[in-house]
Amino acid sequence: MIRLNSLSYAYGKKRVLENIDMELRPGSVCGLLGKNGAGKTTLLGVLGGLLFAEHGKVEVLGYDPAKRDPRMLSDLFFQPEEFELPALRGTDWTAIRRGFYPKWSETAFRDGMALLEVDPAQRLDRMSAGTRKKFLVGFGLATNARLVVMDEPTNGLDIPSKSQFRKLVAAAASDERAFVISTHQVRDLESLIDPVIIIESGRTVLQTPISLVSERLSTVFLTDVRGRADVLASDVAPGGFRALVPGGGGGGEIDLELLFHAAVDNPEKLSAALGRGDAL
Amino acid sequence: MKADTVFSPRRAWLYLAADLRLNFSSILSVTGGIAGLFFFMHFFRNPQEAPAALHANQLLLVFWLVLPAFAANAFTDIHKPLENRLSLTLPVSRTERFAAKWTEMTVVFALAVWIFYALLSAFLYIFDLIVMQGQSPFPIFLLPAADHLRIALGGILFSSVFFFGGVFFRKSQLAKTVLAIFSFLVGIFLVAACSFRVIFTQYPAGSVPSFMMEIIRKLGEGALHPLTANSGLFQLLFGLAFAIFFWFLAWLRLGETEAKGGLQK
Repeated sequence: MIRLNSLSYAYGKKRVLENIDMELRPGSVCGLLGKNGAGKTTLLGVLGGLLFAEHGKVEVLGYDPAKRDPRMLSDLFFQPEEFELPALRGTDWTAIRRGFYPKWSETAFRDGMALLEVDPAQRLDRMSAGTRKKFLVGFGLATNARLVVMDEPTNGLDIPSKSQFRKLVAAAASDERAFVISTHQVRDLESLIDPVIIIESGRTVLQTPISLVSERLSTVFLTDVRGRADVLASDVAPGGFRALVPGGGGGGEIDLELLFHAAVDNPEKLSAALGRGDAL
Repeated sequence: MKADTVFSPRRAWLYLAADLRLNFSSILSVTGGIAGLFFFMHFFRNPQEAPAALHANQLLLVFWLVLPAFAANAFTDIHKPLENRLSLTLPVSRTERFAAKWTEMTVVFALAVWIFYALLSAFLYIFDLIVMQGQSPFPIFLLPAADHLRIALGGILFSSVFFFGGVFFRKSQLAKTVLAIFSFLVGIFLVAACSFRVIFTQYPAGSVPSFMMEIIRKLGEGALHPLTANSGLFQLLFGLAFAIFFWFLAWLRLGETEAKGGLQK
């Protein structure tokens, strides 16, 4: 569904992505994690045909996204982090755009709006930023596009809306579709994403299925982490620390935030713990 | 087939309909403004003026001033940084986008103006009959005369430059296009002036060179008749070539704008 080979991108002289390799199969909900400015939005822009790769090969749904083939775009929904919607009712805006998506489902749209608690009859320019984002999420999922690319979709959403978002994406995921969702708020996507890709300074520092992480690592509670060489990453918790350590797997829940810190701060140790030659 | 030359009439039609719907309120505001202006102007019209000439003057204003302004703003949706992200990921090819915008700025505009102007003239006629007690009421406009068609066609061809300016410039497209045309004309004038200065430098002031005398003589004898007799046809061909050139440039530039437009801040 997505195949990137040595993708590089630069804004003028500023290199933003460097030799990115990636492969994504249908049925995945890929979490693209990284700090602000790590290159996530640029990578999504390349996938959506909004930015053109400087070097490397990019294939999305069997097309080169730089060619912006409408046959590819009708099977891809791109939700930017920042966007503006016109002074129209949500229903009117939907009416003029749904025709572009051959697999549009009115039922999915209505159900999505109901779950996200958005009234599509409201004027889009009068909706709050969070509601506008939820409206676009509902629209995007109703297109039934095979590839859905979302840039920071949970940014600006309140806590109940984040949970509604996770429910909706989980319900929409299928063996034929794939999602690429970027975020720097890693907890927002916990229990939803698989695989996970972590980008740091334009390079992929981790790309792995969550099942492998669950199998090889575990999140434990420790009263003290000093002197513990096996701790890959830790965070203060009441009465001690939550820590990511190798072994002890068995499908337990993985703290994505700790995994993220491990990938960024201790890539070699993490890669060794995952039993891979490198962190990629 | 190259992706940007893919053409589906259905998608082009959907895009055209979507674009008209998105711009409906601004189209309505401009239409209201023009209707108000014409209503105001009709109080000051010369009652003796021939109806065809009166309509021609009004249509001249619409096709030579309003249409270029519309054409210059035809592509704002792909220039505005936060709006274009959703516009550029819409499944339409460059050719479909171009075809839809082009149709709006030519066929749709012309048809809309005929309908709008016919309705407005009927309203002004009824208004004059009722309010002004039927003293030389405003003539109703039904079918365009040849002169009106010439004005419309001229305006459409002229607006092709503004259509190109609309794609080329990211901001203030109308003002920048006017400025570009003005700069071009000043440039042409300077080149012509310098050329004349160089060509005629050997002739004393007041004397006419022999080759100029020859041209004047031929004009007098009607030797250049085929050129002057078919000036209308030459004008039309020149106008068409001029417009096609700028529409083609607009199509080319649209590809670049789509490519550079994504994710601008």
